[in-house]
Amino acid sequence: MRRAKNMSIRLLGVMAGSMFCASTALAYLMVAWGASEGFYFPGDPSHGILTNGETTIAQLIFSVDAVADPVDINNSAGGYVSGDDVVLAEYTLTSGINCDEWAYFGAPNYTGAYSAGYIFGRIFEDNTPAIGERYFNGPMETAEDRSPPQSPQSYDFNSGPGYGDDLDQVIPIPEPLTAALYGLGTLVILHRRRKA
Amino acid sequence: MKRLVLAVIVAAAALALFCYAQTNQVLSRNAVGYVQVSVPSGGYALVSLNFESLDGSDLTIADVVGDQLPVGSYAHIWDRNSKVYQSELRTRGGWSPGTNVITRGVGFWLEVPSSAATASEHIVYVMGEVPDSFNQGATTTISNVQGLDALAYPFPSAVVWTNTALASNALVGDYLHVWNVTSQSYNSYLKTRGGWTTPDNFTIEPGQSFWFETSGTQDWTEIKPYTWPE
Repeated sequence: MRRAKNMSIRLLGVMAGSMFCASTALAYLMVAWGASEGFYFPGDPSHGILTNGETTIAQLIFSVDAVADPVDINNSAGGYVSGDDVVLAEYTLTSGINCDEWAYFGAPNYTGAYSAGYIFGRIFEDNTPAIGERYFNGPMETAEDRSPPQSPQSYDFNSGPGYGDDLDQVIPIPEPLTAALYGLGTLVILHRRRKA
Repeated sequence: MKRLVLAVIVAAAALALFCYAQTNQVLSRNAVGYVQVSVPSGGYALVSLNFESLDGSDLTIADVVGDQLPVGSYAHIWDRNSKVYQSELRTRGGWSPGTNVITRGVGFWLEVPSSAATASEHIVYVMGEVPDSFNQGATTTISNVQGLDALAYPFPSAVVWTNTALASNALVGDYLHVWNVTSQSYNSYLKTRGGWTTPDNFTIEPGQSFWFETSGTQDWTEIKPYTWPE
């Protein structure tokens, strides 16, 4: 005779879910993500980061080591992340369409395979990040294994009430060594092409 | 004699009026309703009870679902106090352990594992007495909503989410997680400084439950949205 099963859910990072379901053996990373308060430029909390019609990008990022590695402006294909960071999902925000000047939003849920690590959010000042422009990293949170019938893990870029958060990070110039390697790589490619 | 006859007539009229009034009250009582929910094979449905029991006793999964789901199905009932599930398994002998109480306005899952399914979809009729002013009062309060809670609109009526007191009194940063039984996935909505990110007129249907995740605490009170039963 089969036993009735009992499951528990850990709440808001405090209650951990454990369940024994015959039908769902897979581990899921299931995240509801958004920003409840919005964003502003440093020193100017009376205005949001977007004017009407402007667009920007919000990202949900996975990190193995719980470190938000700096933006890599040369990695546009990978979502501008560096180190062990991986972009799980992107959400495009356009003021007047799906947000207002403050860029608060609720993105569609992300669902993917679970692996141990951390998640954090990132938002740029616009949709074409460039050196010297600003961005913001949300709080780093432990990724949780959430499979139905558990509820999604919720993630808020903003951690407290007020006018939101300021874009306190600046997209750096690629470090000299990296730039040198890029230059060297370019020279090698050119040299090969000439030979060919 | 005339006086006696008159008194008898008046008394009879008063009795008839009283009986009529009583009959009227009886007519407004014990209105039974039902809500249809479906559970896909190998899937889950996040449902709720919008009704009371007819005799005032506590309702268990045997009362609410009975034998409408196949042997091997599960009900996972959210325990609001301890924030855990209490699960029930449908065995050949009925639901086991069969003791967990299902409360109006609190969510629970129905699960039909693929191994237990006898059809691609299982229809369940959740039945009971429609809450009225006589048995429940004009309002219903779900007290001490905090943290993560599986809740439901406590009446068998559809309601626009943003018209509920729960949505109105939610704090910025609170989440609503709604299970989509068709896609077997969640849609989540955040309360921002600009309001809820739900689509316009986003509706909670009868029999539907949802997760409400809050950083605050509130007693959720709703007024009975229909005039009959009174």
